[in-house]
Amino acid sequence: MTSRAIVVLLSAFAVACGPTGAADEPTSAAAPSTTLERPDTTEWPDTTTTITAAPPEAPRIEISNDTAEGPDVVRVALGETVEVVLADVDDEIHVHGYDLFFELRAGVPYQLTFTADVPGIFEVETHDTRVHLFDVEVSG
Amino acid sequence: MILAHGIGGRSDLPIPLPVMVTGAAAVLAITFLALGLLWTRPRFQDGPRYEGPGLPVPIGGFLAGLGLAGLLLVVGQLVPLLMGMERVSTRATAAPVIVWVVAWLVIPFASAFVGNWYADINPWRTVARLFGVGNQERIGLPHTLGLWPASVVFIAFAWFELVSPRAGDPNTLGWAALGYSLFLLVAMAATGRETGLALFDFLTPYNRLISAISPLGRNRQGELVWRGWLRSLAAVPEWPGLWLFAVVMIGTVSYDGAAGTTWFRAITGNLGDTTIGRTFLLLATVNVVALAYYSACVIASSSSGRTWTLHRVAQRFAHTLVPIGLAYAISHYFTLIFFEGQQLIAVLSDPFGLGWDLFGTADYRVRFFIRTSTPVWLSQVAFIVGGHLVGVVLAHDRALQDFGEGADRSQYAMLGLMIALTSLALLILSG
Repeated sequence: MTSRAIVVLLSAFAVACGPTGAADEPTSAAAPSTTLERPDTTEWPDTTTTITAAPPEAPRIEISNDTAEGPDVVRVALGETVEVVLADVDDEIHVHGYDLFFELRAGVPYQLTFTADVPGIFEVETHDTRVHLFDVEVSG
Repeated sequence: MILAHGIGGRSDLPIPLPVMVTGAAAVLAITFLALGLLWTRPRFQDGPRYEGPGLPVPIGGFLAGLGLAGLLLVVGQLVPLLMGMERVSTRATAAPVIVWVVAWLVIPFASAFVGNWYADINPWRTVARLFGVGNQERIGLPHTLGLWPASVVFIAFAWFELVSPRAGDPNTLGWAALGYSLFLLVAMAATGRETGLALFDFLTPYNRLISAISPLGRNRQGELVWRGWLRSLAAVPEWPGLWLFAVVMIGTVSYDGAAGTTWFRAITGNLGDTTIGRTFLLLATVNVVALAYYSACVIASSSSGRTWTLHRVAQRFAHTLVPIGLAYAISHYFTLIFFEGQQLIAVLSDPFGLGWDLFGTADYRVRFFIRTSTPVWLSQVAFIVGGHLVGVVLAHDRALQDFGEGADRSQYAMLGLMIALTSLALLILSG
């Protein structure tokens, strides 16, 4: 089932980078990445976390303090990649249902992968500020 | 786009078109077969029949204890708040599960099978008994208030879950439970314990109406007996506002389901983005259902040849909406019960989210044991079609009772309404 993975790429575009225009550069290539372990649970056999580069055509979601710009629903097919561009938020991202928490810091990009092995529509929101970012729709 | 929800964050996938079409075809077939094949004399209208040996129910005290414990766990969320204790941010608390899964879904749904066990569970009755509140019944029932106050409280409760952005917050739930408890205690003190609960505790009529579907009931000695299926629902007392309560049951869950669909979002634009907008949409949905029901009553009464008031017709057929409302709710929420209900295992070890682990289960994670959608879709459609069938049968029987010769023509309106409501339910399920 590892092939049915949602890849959520969270890359920050650093407001802190200032007037050099770095925020406008493509983030996937140069951005540092962090590998996050999924929580250890018996009922989730696929706990490997892999890093995948988001293809340029992936849907982009920009997060600022209280808004999320981008598609409302991200539909997941086999191995589809979702790119989320984080603008300026220090927060956790909570994937409901799968109950995954991803720590975010403004200016630090992340690429996250988890296996979409449960069908349904799952809300993704920031944990502390409770901003609903988008839904992940896993068909099956 | 901010979605409000008391609990969860997972919803079922929309049912695919073939499943929806099959469901719709079954509904039409059932309806027209019913017209041709059903009986010509009323069968369920002479009240429940109490049959079989009475089974004593010795667990009343146990259920009351559970109810009280549940209330204390919700109101108790205020203790860590007032003592300034820090919650662990990733730990859930017991409050949302108890309120939005157990009290709001599990207890009423189970009432349709085991009878009105909420009468035993009801923690406010227990508290009032313990403190001797409302020992004197001061108002005779049915009162002219009837189910109007309970309908208003029902809408407020649905608003809290579906519209308010704070429905999952344990502190808000604690304050709300405390406020509701004080409200009921004052009501019981003023009107009497049973009167106060019947008029103002919306869960009392909610469970009573749903439990009337159950073939199990209590005889005068309080023993559990068979009472003949569907007979009790036809015998539900027609308190003022009964029709409104039934309409609210359907309207609130319709709003919840519809709000998640693409067609509803396309129609309502960005209204759903604000609390005020969602409040408007919730009330509008209830009003649309009320309007549809009243329209069916207008047609039914004008084609029956009787000179009944519109209001009387609306009251006489209100009970036929109860199985439809229940079917809506079960099909919409049953996976939520299976999945989110498991959170109870975790939160009982750490009810206040303080990082405790009383029973070693605090880190339990929900197991999604249904890994494919097909059984979910089929069950959802089966519930909707089943609710429709029961509604049609009850409406047919009531039309025979009330309209006799005019029953054939007058029930077309009710059948049309039920097809419309069931189509709406299927449309909601199909996203």
